[in-house]
Amino acid sequence: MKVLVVDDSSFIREYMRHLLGRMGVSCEEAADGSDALEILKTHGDFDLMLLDLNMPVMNGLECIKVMRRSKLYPEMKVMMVTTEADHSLILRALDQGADEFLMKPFTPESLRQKMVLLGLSVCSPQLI
Amino acid sequence: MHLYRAVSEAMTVHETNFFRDRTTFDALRDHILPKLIERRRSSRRLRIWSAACSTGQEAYSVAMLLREHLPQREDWDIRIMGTDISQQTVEYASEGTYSRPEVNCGLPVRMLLRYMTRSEEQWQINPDLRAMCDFQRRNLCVSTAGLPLFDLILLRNVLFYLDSECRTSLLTAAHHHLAEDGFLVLGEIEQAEDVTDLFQPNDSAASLFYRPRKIV
Repeated sequence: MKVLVVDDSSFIREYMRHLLGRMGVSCEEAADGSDALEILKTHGDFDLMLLDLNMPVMNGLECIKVMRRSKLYPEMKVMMVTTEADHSLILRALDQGADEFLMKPFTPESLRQKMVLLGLSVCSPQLI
Repeated sequence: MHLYRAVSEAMTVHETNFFRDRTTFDALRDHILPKLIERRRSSRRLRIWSAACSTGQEAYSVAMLLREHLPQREDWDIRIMGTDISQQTVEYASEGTYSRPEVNCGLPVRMLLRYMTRSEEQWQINPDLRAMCDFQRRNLCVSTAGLPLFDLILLRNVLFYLDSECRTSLLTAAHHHLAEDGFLVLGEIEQAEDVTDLFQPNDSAASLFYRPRKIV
């Protein structure tokens, strides 16, 4: 399984890489939405995009809007991973084409469970 | 608080989350609940027991499933009872208010939006879902007297904490309180067969579902 982690915080990206690695999942990183679209065009298909909301250059909502409109990898699942928890904002993200929503801060187990909800089979991080 | 109750509060494991164990809830949604709904179509009455409900997520998860998949639910008389040995967790379940880490774990975001309302950093179960559930403190190893007959009993992740005598007693009580055509659900690593022959595995769903045997 391949995951694209999109977050402007290098600390979060490093944490995600570590966490996904413990689940046996490999990942690529992008620092904003624009960067993510470039990686999608050049690095082939991903199973899942973990997408932050508030980022410079291109935020998560714009990124998903462009991506879904251009039909770039329509099979790829998109999970918003953000500190935002506003009802209307979550609805907007879902309307734009997000599949799930994970609120920061989160535990390794909550990330795993959200991935399972999306039909992605992953090991428990603590078992590795 | 009595010493006995204080000790049981301290010793009890409260690990749970919404839709814990996907296999179980998939089977409930796809096999067990449709069967029960068909069998109770004339009475339009369902009684469900979350026997070790902890902080209530299991009971509310079943309530959400029923809201999603039962057509004309408003015409049905549905009660979901949650019981737990810990007074603190029963009060927590009754409150129906959950933190960010709790709603993050296992709950699809669309269900969060549909069935819970945010108040700052807490999420409250909506009144219509809350009204389907009752919670009460009970030590199941001591007595289940006064409990009604149920169509579905969830007794998950409890048996492996108990000794053989208590497991037998609890499964006997579950058999007593389960309708003849009802279902018992155990945890993924639990079995009813090791201490009793009161139940038989249900072959149409995952092996953690059981049907009661008739006592001759």
